[in-house]
Amino acid sequence: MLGQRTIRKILSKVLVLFAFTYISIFIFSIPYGYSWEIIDGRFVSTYPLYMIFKRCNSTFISLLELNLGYNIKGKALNKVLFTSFMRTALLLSSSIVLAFVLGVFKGISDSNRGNKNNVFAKILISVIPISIPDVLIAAIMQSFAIWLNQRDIHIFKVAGAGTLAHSFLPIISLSILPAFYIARITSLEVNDCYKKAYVLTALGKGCSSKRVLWNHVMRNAIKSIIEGLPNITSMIISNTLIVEYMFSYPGLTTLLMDHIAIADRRSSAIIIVFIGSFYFILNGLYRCISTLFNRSNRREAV
Amino acid sequence: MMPLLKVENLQVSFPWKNKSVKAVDGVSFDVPHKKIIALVGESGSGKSVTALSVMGLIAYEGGKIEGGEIIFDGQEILRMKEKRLSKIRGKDVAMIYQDPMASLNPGISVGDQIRESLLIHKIASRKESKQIALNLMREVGIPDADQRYGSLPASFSGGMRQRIMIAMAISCRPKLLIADEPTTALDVSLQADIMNTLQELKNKIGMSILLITHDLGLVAQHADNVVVMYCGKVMEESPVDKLFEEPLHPYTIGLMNCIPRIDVTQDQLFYIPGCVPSIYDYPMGCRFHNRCSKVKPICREKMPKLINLNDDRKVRCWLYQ
Amino acid sequence: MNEIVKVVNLKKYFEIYDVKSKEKKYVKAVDGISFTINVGETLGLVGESGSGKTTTGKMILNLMKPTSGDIFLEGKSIKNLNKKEMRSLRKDIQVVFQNPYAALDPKMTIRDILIEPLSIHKIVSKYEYNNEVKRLLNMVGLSEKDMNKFPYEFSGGQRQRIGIAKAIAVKPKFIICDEPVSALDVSVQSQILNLLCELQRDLKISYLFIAHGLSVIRHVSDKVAIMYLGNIVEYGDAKSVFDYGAHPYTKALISSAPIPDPKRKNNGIILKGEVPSPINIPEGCPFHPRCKDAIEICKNKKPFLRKIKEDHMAACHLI
Repeated sequence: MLGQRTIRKILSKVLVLFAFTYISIFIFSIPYGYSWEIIDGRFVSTYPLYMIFKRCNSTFISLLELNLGYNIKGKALNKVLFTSFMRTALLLSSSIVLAFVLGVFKGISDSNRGNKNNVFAKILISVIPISIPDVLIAAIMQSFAIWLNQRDIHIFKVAGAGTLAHSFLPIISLSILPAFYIARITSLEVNDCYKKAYVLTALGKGCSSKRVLWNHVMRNAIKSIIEGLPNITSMIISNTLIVEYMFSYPGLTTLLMDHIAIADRRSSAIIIVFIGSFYFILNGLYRCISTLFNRSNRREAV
Repeated sequence: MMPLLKVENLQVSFPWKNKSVKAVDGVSFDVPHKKIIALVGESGSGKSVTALSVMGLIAYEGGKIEGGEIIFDGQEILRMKEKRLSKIRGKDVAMIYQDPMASLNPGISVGDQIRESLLIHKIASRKESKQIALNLMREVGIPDADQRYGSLPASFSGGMRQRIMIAMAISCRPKLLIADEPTTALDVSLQADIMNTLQELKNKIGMSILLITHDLGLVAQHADNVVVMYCGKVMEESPVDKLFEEPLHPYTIGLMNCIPRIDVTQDQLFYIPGCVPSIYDYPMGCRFHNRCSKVKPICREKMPKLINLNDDRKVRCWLYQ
Repeated sequence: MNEIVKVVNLKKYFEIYDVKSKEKKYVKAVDGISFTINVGETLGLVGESGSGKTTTGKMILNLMKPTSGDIFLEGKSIKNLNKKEMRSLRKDIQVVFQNPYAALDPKMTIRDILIEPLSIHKIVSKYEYNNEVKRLLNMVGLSEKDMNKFPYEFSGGQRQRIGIAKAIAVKPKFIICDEPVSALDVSVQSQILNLLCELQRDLKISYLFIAHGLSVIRHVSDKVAIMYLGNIVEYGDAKSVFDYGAHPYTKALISSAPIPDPKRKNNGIILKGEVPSPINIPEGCPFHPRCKDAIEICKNKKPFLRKIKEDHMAACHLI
């Protein structure tokens, strides 16, 4: 299934990743107060170089074994990091899916769907919400949940230990801002597609407006929408920090905050790397999905 | 016998700044059963707007119907509700467009696009419609129909794409086919082929064709009747042999004279002086008067009416009134 | 020297990588063509899409480097010219494009558009600019009142006139007209064609007229070259080619052009099949899959241009 060229590409990317990781670990392994001088033509340093390399290698190998060592308090990192990673992954993936669904539907309703009349107000409605800070959204959601709870409607959990019920509110509040972005992209793409000539052809065949929208326009618009998703990845990941904090959701970023609070450099660095990996995982997923859509095109273009 | 299509005093306007401009200003003509009627005109004549109005698509393009009526197969379709119109569109009247590349959906396979009309109008089930679509592809001359059923439009050449459009349009055996400049975007060697295919299909299905073009050569070779339009109005309407033998309207005469001929060498080409007036700035009186070689004082003041000369010829010119 | 442009065995191959068969293939856009244009003469280059006529025009303008072959302008080869020499040569060759709506900068007034070539090539001094612009506008049939207008205020035919004025501003010896009337209305086409012929007579300019409309070519050209898939299949005096078309492709093209006379129905020779893509040019004669008279040798051996009459050559085994 994967051609030779693709394998070569993947291997080169993995190699670059390893080299980068090694260099970062090396830099991390340099202890405090390290300095060097050249005395009488000889290289003299406060810490022997080979020791640094030894430290670096041991860390690198333990990384390859996926043994992340211990944090400053003596707890094994592996398990706790793994569970937090999964929780944040659940949070991110659910909110992206929810944002996509909400955003596409809102975008379709925002677009003018072929009507040539100017709808300027609608554009404003989709632009203004993007400027609302996520903190405000999270705070409002939290207050709303507390208000419901005070009236004995316990559908939303205000706090918890990372259970599924606990994750509902964070998922909703995390998905709101990306939903508006996606709505904006969707409405622009849908408007663009409606200007094309094939919509007239479809209408000329007697297609109802519903059929034109779903069978003709959305088929072409979805491709472009998915191509626009990588732009919001960084926004979503940074908002995760806020949301997890506000709802006390025990995800990866909460773990990071805890470790920074106890000044554990090493563990913090490792957690940061894992948070960053979300970026690559998400973007890679978007690329796979869009090639899936495009493969049907590429197969036929001689 | 009632004509298949009767366009009566059609008036269509488009909004412009705070006012509106009339793209079609009182156009009337008939399309009898099983004939090819050519709608001839240059840019700005209103022929495409007329075609879209017959299809009921002019509102989608932003046009407003100011007056007139269109009677197709006994029914008034100009003011018909969209729901009822969409049952007629694609089934009884179909259209093929000028640019086949842009007019086909790039993301849907060719076969699915051809059979879509059959499914919408509930003429066949999903399985049957695939067979019918394959037959249609063979009918219009697309080679290897079985293999190419699932291909996307991008993998076909220009001539093939136009054939796909034709297959799409005739899938429900319409009574009227509107062909909007079907060969303009194609190479010369394909034009004759496409036109011949259309002629054969017309005879086979028994449909009429409303051929919109600016190419008088095409008109001479394929049309039965000709309607000449200029600046939103009909200038002349006549059977094709009488039109070429003895054109009446000075515009028609001018058009015929300025075509370079392939069979004759000419020294200097005849030309119509001036240019087509802009839609925002039509002259008073007859819209052609400032380019007409036979202009009279009355032409500058009053618009002539379209009158019947003999039985089958109509002309709008003060020379004949 | 009577020859303005001479093209010798010009070839342009584009390299592509075919993903399916995983090998390098060549798109033979232009596959060995030669022709000559004399002073004050018009060569009509006829061909369909994919025939290579636009690529040929671009190579003559030095916008594209040929893969092999040579182009001579007034006897000098343009192959190894340096930038300075090429710049001064650009004064002698100009272009008129197909789309009058796209060829003019919409932000510049007509005056600015016409002054630009005058100032680059220093045709006249600064103080003479206005007079020169007036002169050019009058020559193409526009008035000096139009000098300060913008392109959007003009119709298609008028814009094409401005494009022509721009081309003749530098007093060129040779103009390439790339489908200059295809985008215009019929009643305007003849005006522009007459203008081009007039300018040729008055200013002694030679034209390379690229088009796919045969009747237009017949009217303006002295000589005609018919291209098919990158090869010239017929070449010679225009009247001779159109009256006694020898190559089967020429005959098919001529017969398929609709005659505006309902009594004379085209008994067009319909070419079967589609134009093959320039990636897979057939073996032997490139036209043989669509030729109804093809014989065995046509499939194997590529025919070369042979003299049929005085000033009339064709590349076909059947003649």
